[in-house]
Amino acid sequence: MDADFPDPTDWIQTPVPGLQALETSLRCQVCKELFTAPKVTSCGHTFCSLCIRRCLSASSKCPTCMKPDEEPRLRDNIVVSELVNSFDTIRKSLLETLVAKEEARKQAEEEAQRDASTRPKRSSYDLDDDGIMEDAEPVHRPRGKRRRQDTTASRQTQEIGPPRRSTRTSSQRINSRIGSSQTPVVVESDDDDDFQPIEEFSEDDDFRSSSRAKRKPTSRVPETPTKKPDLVPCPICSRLKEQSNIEVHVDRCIDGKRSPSPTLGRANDASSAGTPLKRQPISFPNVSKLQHRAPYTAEEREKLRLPKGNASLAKEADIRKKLREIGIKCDVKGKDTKQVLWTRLQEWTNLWNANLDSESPKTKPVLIKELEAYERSQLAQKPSVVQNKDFEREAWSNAHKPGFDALIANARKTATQKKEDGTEAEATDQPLDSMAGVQAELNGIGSPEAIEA
Amino acid sequence: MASRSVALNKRLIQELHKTRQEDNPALTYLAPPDDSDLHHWRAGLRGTPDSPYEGGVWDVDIVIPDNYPLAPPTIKFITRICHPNINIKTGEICLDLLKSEWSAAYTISSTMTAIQTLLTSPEPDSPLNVDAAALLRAGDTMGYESLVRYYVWRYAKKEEDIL
Repeated sequence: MDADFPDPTDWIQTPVPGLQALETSLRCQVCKELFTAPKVTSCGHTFCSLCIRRCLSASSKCPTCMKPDEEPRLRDNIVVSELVNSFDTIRKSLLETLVAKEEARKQAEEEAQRDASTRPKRSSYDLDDDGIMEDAEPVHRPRGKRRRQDTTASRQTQEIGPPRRSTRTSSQRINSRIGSSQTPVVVESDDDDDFQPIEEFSEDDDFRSSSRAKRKPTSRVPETPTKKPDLVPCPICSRLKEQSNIEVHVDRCIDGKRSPSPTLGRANDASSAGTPLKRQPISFPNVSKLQHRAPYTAEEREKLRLPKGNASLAKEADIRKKLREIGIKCDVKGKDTKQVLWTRLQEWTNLWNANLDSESPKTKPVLIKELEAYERSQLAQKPSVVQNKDFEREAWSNAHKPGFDALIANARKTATQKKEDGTEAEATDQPLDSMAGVQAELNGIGSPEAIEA
Repeated sequence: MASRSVALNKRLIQELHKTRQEDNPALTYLAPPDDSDLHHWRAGLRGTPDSPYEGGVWDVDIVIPDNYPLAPPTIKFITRICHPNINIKTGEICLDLLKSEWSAAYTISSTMTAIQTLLTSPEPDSPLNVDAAALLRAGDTMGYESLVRYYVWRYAKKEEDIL
């Protein structure tokens, strides 16, 4: 069982039970697996891409802290994904070595108990530990600030022979991965600003929300400083400029196109963008950018996040059309309702978007199979008899008439009783039973539970 | 069974594995009564110490839906219990955590801990047991507690018998 279902509790029996906490933090709270394509919410919690997308489509709340959140706000958590990868590679050997060590220790203890003449085991253990630690320190150093996060894990690895090697290799791997994963960040801070909106676009899940943002660039202003505190987009050419230089830059921009206006220096203040004079130069470059980006190649389209849409605005025919375009079967079981179709489309969106986040994306047919499997697992529940479409109200109410009548009579009796004595019910078994009747009625007289009760 | 999601079964096995490794102080046991059905669990819930429920153990029935953990498990008391938010006959529990406030981050074990907490912090304003709630609302704590103790004595399993 341990081998098939690795779990943080595996570490409890090892000499380093603290590893349990480390592994717990590397696991998704929803699926309890190690993170796959970790995403961080706006409240700072991390989940697997697919898990959080499913949760947010079920209820727009963070599963951990219940704060409201939305899918487009999710961001990649690169460090966590690296941590998970390196942990996953060492986990098995680390666990095996630690368990072997613990067993060896127990054996030694037993032997020590049996044979009193053996030298005290404890002191030799400590010495051994220290010696290796000092020796291992320089190997560890290049990891820099990463070191503090998993000292316990690596310290223990260094204590024993073989895993030390794996630690070193994994640290190298991490370093190389940091190098590669940080490349986009470097590009982001680059002054070539044409890249900026594209990058934003690929990260943004909602196509419409991002295009809306492009029409009204001022609405995006509050978000940009959180990413790059020193860079502010120029309201005229929308290039990122340092905040201290923005006024000079804006003046220069205006000189190039329009007559200078003293108020334009503060143009990133949303309220000042109201006059037509200022609006025109803002909107032109953005419109041209929109047109520039409109035609996507087939390859690019394959990498776009799908928008979520709105259930009440979507028409059944449109949903059907969309599903058919993707290649998903409609009407699997007879005629599917709009609700079923909508759920299917939502789940497809979740699968699709999460697949784009993953390091090893699957192909479309595989995803469609996954969707079908998921839906089968979800629809396995039997719907309630009352909710059934063929439910016969007449027959049901006739069959349960005595039950309904008894409930009504019971309720009337208790109501009059209450009026008569006017006091609260005494805490004995008798009123409890009669009250249960009233309460069943309160729960909804027509429901089958009430009748069974 | 085959149609049920592999991911869900994996999560449930993992939860089960964890409960075997780590004891939940709120529970005497937590496991599926039948090995072939992972979607149906049973638990023995301990009464909170220093409360009128102290010393009692209640059998609780847990049914896990196919869309767990997105949907909450259905939890019912099998052993009769007197509590303002628990139906005395059906054992149904009125707890927001099991309905609107459910979160996918909860586990079966943590949900059971929440139910144990409910025992000591009843919400008499949304009662399923009107009599117990009426006593509490009238401020008759002593009456309420003796009623609870009577039900513990009369129906609940006793902790000392189990151990």
